Amino acid sequence: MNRSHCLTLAAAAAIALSTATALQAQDLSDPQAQIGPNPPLPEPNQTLFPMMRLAEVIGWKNGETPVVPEGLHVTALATGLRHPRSVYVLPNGDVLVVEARSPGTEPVKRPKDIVRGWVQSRATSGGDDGPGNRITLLRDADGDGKPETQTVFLDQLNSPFGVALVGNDFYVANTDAIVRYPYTTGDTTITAPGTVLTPLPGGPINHHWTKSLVATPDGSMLYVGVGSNSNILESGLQAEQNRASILEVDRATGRWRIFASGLRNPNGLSWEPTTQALWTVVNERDELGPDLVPDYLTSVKDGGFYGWPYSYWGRHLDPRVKPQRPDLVEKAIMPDYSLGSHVAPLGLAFYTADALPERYRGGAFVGEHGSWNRSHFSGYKVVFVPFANGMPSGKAEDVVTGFLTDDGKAHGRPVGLAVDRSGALLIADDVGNTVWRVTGAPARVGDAQ
Amino acid sequence: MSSVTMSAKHVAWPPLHPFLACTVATCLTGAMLTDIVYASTAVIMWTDFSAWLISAGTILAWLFGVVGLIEFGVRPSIRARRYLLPYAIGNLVVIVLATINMLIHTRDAWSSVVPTGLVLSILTVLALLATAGFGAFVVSSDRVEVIRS
Repeated sequence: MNRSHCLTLAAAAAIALSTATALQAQDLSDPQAQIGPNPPLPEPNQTLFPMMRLAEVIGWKNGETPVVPEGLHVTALATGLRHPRSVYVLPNGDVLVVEARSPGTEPVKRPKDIVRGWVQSRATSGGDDGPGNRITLLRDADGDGKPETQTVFLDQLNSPFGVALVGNDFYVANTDAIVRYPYTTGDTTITAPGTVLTPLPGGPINHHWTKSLVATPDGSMLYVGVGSNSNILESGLQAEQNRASILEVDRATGRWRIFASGLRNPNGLSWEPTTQALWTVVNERDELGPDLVPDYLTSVKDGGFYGWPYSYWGRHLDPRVKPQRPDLVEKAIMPDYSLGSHVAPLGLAFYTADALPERYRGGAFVGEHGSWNRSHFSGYKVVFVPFANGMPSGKAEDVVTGFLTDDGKAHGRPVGLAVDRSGALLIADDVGNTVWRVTGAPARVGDAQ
Repeated sequence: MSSVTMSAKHVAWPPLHPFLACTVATCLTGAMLTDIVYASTAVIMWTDFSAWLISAGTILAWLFGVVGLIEFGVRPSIRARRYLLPYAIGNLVVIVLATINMLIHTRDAWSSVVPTGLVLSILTVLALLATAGFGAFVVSSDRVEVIRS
């Protein structure tokens, strides 16, 4: 009797488990198929177990570097940093590295949060321990790719991400406010206290905390990306006020308005060089399957609504959102260019210099932090999207790879991008604690490989 | 005369594992109620309640199942009780339904409840009710048993 009960229980558990495994969605055979303006979109597939696969971080050993195609060359500009998330180049050529960690204000609201926190803590070094939240200045006066000095430019910041210089005003987009500091060309450190230009939606929760920042070419306005406070509204609609949007901030007064909305987590705000339009990369929603929803690169229209949370890629309704808003879905704009699902683009830089090969001029580099919500990794690289007449004009191609090992471990993960004074591409690598510099020149004898 | 016979018997402990069932039933019934409230209001707070209640109920249900199996193993007198098989199968159904429902409730927002989660919550409670009926026989049958040498 007892034995038969045991067997029944074991059999039932086995059936439940195998059913669950069978319900795991299969990845698209070719993720490249989703790259471009009109990606194929499978039906939403909500599995029993939310797929979580993160790459264990192993860092870079001495001499190890990412991989670049022939004609390019990559070296470390700085190593041993503290979770560098973005890079910015000052007019005199000094490079600022924003080293930030997550504010860690997200509460445990559901049992799921405990499990996810545990899985993520095993796989990533989120920069959650030790000091950080500062900006480091690198000065490479002779332009040989080896900075002569490294100083702490600003310290004690609150999870900063975006920065922008307009004249003598230096702006830092902390996670909860845009703060202005006085800057004079040549400064290597700022000691003056900052002035808050405007608060930004921060805590409580603060799920997507990175605030991307860019100033208009004439310097009158600042644009700041404010990510959503949830994956898909699971913290309630009231937590999303003024979030999932790009705000336009008047630099003189700090007054702001929502410039565009429905952008789940917009980062890498940049100006397209030929049309002067605002572009961004956006992290779309998770847990609808390995090939939904494509993250994207898009121009941003004034007053535009891009779907989140009600719909994705135009008018595809998200089954998890109630009540729906057909009035908003009706006017949801389809993004310009899919980068593929779950690649997690966080950095964007248009290339207007002439040091890299001809083919890169006028196009956009995108830093893809990499996936967690699919069984085969995607992202974990820097790609290049060619542009013509102000719009993407072809397939994205890999430029900087090798962040992942063959057995699925991560040396590093690319985040923010910038182009330095010499025309080299700079890449912030947060878990690799490195800033990489990609040049067009072939390796010279004596260069570190 | 009869005192010799009596000394060979004693009043047995009732089965212990059903005590755990009270908490399991409370959590899973509560989850059905919070699911119903969420399905009719779409106020997200209720999904958090459901997720906690179902997770707690499911973990305790597994504990209940393990303790029950051990008790069946070490106490032959309990194995002999009436309606034991439907009681065991009923509990197994509860455990399987609650486990699947816990996973469904890890989804975000509306589809963590409607429709699959809500249906599973109601089925779980129905299975609990049916099982409780058989459980009454398992718990309350004759508790005088012969002490084994």
